[in-house]
Amino acid sequence: MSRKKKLSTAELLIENLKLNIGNISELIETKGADAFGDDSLLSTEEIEDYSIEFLELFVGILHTQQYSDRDSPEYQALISFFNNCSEQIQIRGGTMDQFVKYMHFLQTCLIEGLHEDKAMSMAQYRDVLLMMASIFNDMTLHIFEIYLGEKEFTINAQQEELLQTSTPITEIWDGVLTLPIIGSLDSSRTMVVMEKLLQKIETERSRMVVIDVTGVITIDSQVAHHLIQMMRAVKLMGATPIITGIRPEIARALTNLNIDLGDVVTRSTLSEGLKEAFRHLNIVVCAGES
Amino acid sequence: MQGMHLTVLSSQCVLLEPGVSLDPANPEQYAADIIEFLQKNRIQGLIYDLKELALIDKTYYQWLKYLFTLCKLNNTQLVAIHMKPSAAYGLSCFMKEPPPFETALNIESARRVFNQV
Repeated sequence: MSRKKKLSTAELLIENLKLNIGNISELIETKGADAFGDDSLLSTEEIEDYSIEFLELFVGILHTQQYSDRDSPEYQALISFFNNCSEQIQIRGGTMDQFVKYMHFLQTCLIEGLHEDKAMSMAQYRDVLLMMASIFNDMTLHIFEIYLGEKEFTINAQQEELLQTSTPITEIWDGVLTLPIIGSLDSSRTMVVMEKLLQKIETERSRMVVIDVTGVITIDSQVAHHLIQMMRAVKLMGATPIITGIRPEIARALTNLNIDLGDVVTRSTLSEGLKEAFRHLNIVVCAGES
Repeated sequence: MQGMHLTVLSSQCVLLEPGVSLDPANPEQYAADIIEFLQKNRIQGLIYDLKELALIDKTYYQWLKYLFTLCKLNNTQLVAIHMKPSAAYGLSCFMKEPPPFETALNIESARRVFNQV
């Protein structure tokens, strides 16, 4: 009793784990199959292997006495283990919830495996359980942070890709750019489109820009304002904008909104817009002799 | 001329390159010299090079409008060239109506504008 009093909580837990490693292994073996419910994401052998590796790393982190130090090599090793484990689960179609379920399974096995030790006081037991809960909570939080970070990165990359493909600015002829706008235009998208368009005008030294709005579903005063702003910016760069494909409902909306497109050149279709651009540049396209 | 560099490109056309010492907040100080230069050289087209300007604020825009008025008094056409995308975007955000002066991609395009008139 007196020796145990001098031991720290981490040391007490290590000692108890060493004494009860047999019980814990047995629990993992018997309950492992149910760790993921009905889904067999990991085989029983894999669960046992993972669990043994986890126990070694867990004891390793307890030895450091600073189990909440995220920079320690032991903590990093444990995080790396959980990362590999969660990757394995997700590769096999599992979800983050199932991975957390596995972490709970490990925690339960550890708690259930600890046998009563008469030499330990109630306060010491409480400390040991609190410490274990703290370590597991911290680990779960850390893994979730990594998971959310990666998810956010993926979403951003997908959004960027979507933006790139939804604004295909093409130099259809020397000095002629075309920009078909599909979907809805909001402030942030307009800013991105405008930025790309102006950059393209500068790099390609384009004199004509044909903006086709056939694919624009609806238009409100804000979108109309954005369009006019885009036209002005194109003109300021020294290029001439042409708007094509204004559908009847869009035309009606623009009239109702009292939007004056002023001196903006408009044409009914993209091909008419291109013809106008060519005419402006003194380019004549004619059929060759067959 | 202080604050700007003027290069006569042809008998009737001049290129104006603003320097770092140009003070757009006090446009009046340049008025007499500019008018004298335009009249003396019988300039019909003034090309204002904006290639060094990443951003055009309201003060600078007022200076360009002031210069346009000066040019108009002398029957000279003002064409701004080489506007950067960032400047065009910034300017389009606060402009309520199109600028009174013409804009072009480069000197060649500016000359085309002069020929159209």
